[in-house]
Amino acid sequence: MRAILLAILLFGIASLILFTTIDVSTLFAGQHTFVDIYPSSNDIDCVACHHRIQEELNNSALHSELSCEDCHRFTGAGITFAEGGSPATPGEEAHAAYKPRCLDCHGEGGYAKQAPAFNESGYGSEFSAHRALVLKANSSGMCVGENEACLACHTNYSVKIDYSYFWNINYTVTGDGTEWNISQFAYNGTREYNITYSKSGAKHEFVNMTVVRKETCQKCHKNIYDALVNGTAGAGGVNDEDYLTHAPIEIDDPQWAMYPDNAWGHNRYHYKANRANIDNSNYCSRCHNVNYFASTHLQKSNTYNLTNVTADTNSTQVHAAEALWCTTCHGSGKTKEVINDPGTPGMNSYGHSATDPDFVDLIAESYARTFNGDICMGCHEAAEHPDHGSCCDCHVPGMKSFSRDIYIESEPSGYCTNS
Amino acid sequence: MNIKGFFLFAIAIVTIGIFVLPITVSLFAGQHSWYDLSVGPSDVPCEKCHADISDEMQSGESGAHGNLTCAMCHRSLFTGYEYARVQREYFVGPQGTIPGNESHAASTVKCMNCHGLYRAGTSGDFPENHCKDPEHAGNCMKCHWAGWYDFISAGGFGLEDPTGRNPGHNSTDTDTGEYAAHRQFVLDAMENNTLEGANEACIACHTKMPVKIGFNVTTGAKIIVNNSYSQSHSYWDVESITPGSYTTYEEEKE
Repeated sequence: MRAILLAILLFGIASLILFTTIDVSTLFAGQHTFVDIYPSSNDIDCVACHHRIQEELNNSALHSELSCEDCHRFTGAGITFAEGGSPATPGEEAHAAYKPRCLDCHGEGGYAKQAPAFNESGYGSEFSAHRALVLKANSSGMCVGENEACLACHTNYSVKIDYSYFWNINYTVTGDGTEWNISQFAYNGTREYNITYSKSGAKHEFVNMTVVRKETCQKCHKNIYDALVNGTAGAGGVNDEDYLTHAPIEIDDPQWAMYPDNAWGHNRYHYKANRANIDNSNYCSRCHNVNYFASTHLQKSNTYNLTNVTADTNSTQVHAAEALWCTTCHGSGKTKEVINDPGTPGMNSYGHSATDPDFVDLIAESYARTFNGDICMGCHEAAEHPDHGSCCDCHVPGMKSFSRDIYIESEPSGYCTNS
Repeated sequence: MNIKGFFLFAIAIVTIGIFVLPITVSLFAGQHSWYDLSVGPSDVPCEKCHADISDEMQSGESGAHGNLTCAMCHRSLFTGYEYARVQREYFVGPQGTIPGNESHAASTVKCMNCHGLYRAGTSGDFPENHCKDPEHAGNCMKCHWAGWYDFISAGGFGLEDPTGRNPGHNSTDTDTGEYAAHRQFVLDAMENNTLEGANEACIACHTKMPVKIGFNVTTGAKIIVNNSYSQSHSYWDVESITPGSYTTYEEEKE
């Protein structure tokens, strides 16, 4: 009973207060406490609404020292932002902030370190392997400008890539004792290769270039990386190499042990057999950005004559990676021009350079770039280069004519027959 | 005198007092003390009912608006509304007592009513001669700190002058807002009926009002790449780049 009376009393008092008070309640308390924007700079606390972005920047390998305003109120982009001062400045192209193009700072004449090639009009030369990605990014409308392409490689923004390309090629190589020819060329099937490169998803977590070079290439191009490292397992016999494609591999069959180095004085072909153990931070750049590799591996510059090799390539004109042909390094007149091995006793071989231009140049002239590597790999895969007893078939001039039917699959399987 | 006697005595005194006193007790004391509504700014003290807002305005955190009167915003002629008022001859509009039309004493206002006005170039262009308006007259420096040329439009969103004075014009002829990061926020706020105009967006950033924001953002891109080829020619065709995944999170501005 006492509790009921107490409740009635409290209810009555509350009603009385409500009835007699002259105050009204306001929707959205605090909406009349305005931020002082008098100073001629930004006075709005961006982080108050964007804590997460600040956290991302705190975890970022790059740009963590920059303020929000450094990028998002960058006046170098020709944008007038609203700001206080006496007199005040109304915004024009943007009010508080804009979504910057990475190239606003990293482009031509930019505020920060320029992005090679992509800082040029039209994103530089056709030799940049990723130019098509940048062009599409610029027209896609998903992000401002080309940023999708920048984010994909330079931040922890995740990437899924669906590739579509040919499944295999087959062709016939014939020799008549003086030169080689290719005939019966055909491409077949379609390979759908899907890549998921999951990262934290943070667009404001920029990764340093070591990570880009060590991870991004092989994650986005996993098909190629797997083709170089795993490929298709061989039969397992002593002479049965794995089917590793994309770039020639050292033939480490025991019979070649007597020739640890070839006529050029370095390990045969591009890589040692156990590719998975090599330093992946420069794995791709050895071919796809010789200029970078040469500038960062001075001790190898003389051994491999990298100054001249760099000049043979277009690597000074590209961003990140060069779209290559085998002939880029091994064509006629190049420092690493294909030659018939003069150092092999008893072999006055022919084929590679019997024609003018070289055989590799003829391939480049007649076949699409996408097939060039596999045409060469049809013989240069370790698994398929004949290991003994048949050298003369192809390499001894005037010996006899030969014909080999070659089947080779694209990356990552790289399975090949050469018979 | 015992207690019973004391109560009887008190009741008798009160009864006599009520019976002989010449005045009556009114409900709501003061209801007949009228405010002077003669010419000039409104004399009705808004603070009487809106003490909380008054406190906010006088809290020392009210930035540019700290010195404004209530009427400078809520009876602004830039709303285009006719408020009840008394005007003298030299004020804009008719003379005498003007009844309210769209609003009586005050209206809710759009921030852009003042901060979205168009001005051509840098020359003087006084909208509606507002310097002669009773609520604004003599208060120039409260808004235009640097002088009459101090243009206070926000700009940068590419929004049309909300007063309709200059159809097709934004704050300035070069106010495009095409790169404004928060433009969609402002446009969506204009579509939202919680507050007037784009006010939800304005006060979210420019006041100390607490805000919760639910973000739904992309965390990755999906890229479709096709190798296009014939026997003699090939190229990589990037077919599309689209958002590939999303995450949601909440930010809370305190």
